Order: sequence, then structure tokens, then C-alpha cells
Amino acid sequence: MTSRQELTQNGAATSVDKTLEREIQLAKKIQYKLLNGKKPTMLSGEISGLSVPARNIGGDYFDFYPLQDGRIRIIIGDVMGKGIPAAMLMILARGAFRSAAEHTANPSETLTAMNNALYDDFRQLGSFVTVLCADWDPISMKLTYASAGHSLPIIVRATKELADLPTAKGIMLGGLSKQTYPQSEMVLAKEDLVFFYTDGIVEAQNSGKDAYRLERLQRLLVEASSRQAADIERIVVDDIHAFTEGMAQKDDITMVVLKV
Amino acid sequence: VLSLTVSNDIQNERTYIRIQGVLDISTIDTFKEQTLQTYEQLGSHGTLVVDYSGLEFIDSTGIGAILEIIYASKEYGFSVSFEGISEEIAEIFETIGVMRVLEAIIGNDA
Repeated sequence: MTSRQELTQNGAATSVDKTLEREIQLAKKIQYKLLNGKKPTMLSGEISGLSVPARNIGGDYFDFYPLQDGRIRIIIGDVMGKGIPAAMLMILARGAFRSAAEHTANPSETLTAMNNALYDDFRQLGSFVTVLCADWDPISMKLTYASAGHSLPIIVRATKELADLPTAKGIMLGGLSKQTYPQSEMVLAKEDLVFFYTDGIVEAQNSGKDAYRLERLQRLLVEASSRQAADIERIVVDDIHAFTEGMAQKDDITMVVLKV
Repeated sequence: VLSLTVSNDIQNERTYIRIQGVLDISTIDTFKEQTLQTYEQLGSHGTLVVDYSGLEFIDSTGIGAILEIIYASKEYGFSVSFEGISEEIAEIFETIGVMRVLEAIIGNDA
């Protein structure tokens, strides 16, 4: 190969790298905007969500959908895998949620509709997504929830006690067709805290390979539960950073905070 | 780091895949390559036993690969069983629904 040919090839590679880098940054912007859209107006209390991808973009996701009767439908999810492929499937899951939330009566029905919509694509792609869907009704003060393979939220009572949530176990979206998702409910009181999360939080590791763990998160939330939603998000992120000593993490970190 | 040991118990028509180490996005290609070879050897006979006793960490990509073994059993016609699952891994499988997928596929209900 002549040096001129080498130069041309190197130049072409640099140009492809730059285009790719630009596209990744644009994709990151799209994902950020989709995740950080308008927060719903609540009759009382406050809600907030935050996602910190481990790479430029990630496969975690959360969303809020205000229903006409004043309820808010909340979803948090974690798509299998990482980076751009996971982000593409996350957008698919988001579309399925938005469409299902519109015409389904409760979290259980939303998950069934989402699984029906996503199953063929996810099966074909060898992927899946775990999600937790919940309806918050500020009038009846009831939280109704169903899980598709996802951890239940942590609830800290205004009395600083951790609530023991009834289970609601369904399998991941994309795992099996024609699934139903059992749902449970819990009546909340003023100043209770509901913390939805993805496993990137409890599995965050420090340099000694110790995991952050659920117990540490629960203790922190009990301490911080009287603070405002955005403060609680910041406190959790700061504590994870302190624990991991800024070490790059393998998984995305996502949370939704509902303060009643 | 991932190390897989594949061994055969011909008399009982069982093939063992013993997972040692980390099953995540960094080791998944090796895992898939080796499991695919095992499916082809097994064909429609016998049982594939996945032994998790040496598994140190699994992420969602690793769980996806375990699900692929379950789906492959239906496609190829062999049976699957799990051994050596720690309490921690059992909890992850239970939350995500891995065991229910296994029951549904092995029971031909999927």
C-alpha cells in the first residue's frame, strides 16, 4: 500500500469516527429529552425521575402518564443489555407504554397490552425488558402496581418505617406470550415516600467489588424521606458516588421518587 | 472472566454446562458460542444441565443468554434443568421470571 493510499484510508476512518460520534451524541440528546419531558401536574404531592446511563446512552427508562381522572400512571424499566442496542429497544418499550396507558384501565392491563405489543419483536431479537407499572391516585391515596419481572418500589412511611408491600409477580416483557400480570395495592398517607428504582443502584460496585445493596439504599431513604423529591434523588446519587468513589459503573442508574 | 466446562454423562443422556465466573456482556459471546455447539451435539436427545455453583455475577445480558438456552430446548427438542443456584441468583431468577419461563417451555405451555 502506498503512503497516499494509507493517508486516504486513515482520513476516511477519521471521518466515519466523527460521524459516528456525532450520531451518538445526537442519540444521547434524544434519549435525554424523552426521559426528561414535562413532569405531570399533581393534585397533591410531587413526583420526579432521574436516569444516569453507565455509557453515553442506556436501556433504563421511566415515564409518567397523567390519566383523565387525576391518577398518574408511572413506569420504570430496564431493557436487557447496554448502550445503543438497549436504547433502541427502550424507545420501543416507551412507545408501547404510551399507547397502552391510553386505553387500559390499570397497571395489570397496561403490562399485558405492552407484552402483547412487544413480544414478537423482543423474542426475535433475543431480548426482554423488566418493568414496574403503578397508578397513583391522589384522591383515594391508593398506589396500585404490577410487575413484569421488576423489583417492587421501596415505601418509607411518614413515620420513617419501611412498608411491607404485597407481592405482584409477573414475568418480564418479551419472555412469554399471552401473559397476565397480578396487581396489588397499598393505601398511602401524606408524606409517605415511594421510591421506584432499577438494579443499577443496588448493584453499583466500589473498587473492592462490594455492591451498594438494597439495605444501604433503604437506610438512606429512611434518613432522607422527609426531604423533597428532587433532594432525595440528589442524596441517592451523591451516596452512590461516595460509595463507588467515582468508579465507572457497568449499569444504568434510574429512579422515580413519589412524595405523597 | 468466564470459564465453561462442558461434560457428558452418556449413560444418563445428560450434558453438563458448568459456569465459572462472570456471565455478563463482556463474556456473553464466548458463552453463546459454546452453548450453540452443545445444542448441536445434544440434538433432540437428553437433558442439558446448567450448573450455576461457580457463577459469581450475572447481568441482564447473561439472563438473556440463559433464556436463550430455554428457548433453544424447545427448538431442538432437548430438556433443560438447573443446578447449584445460590440464594442470590435464585432471587434474581424469581424476580425476573426465569423459572416461570422454564416451567412454561418445558411444560410446552408457551
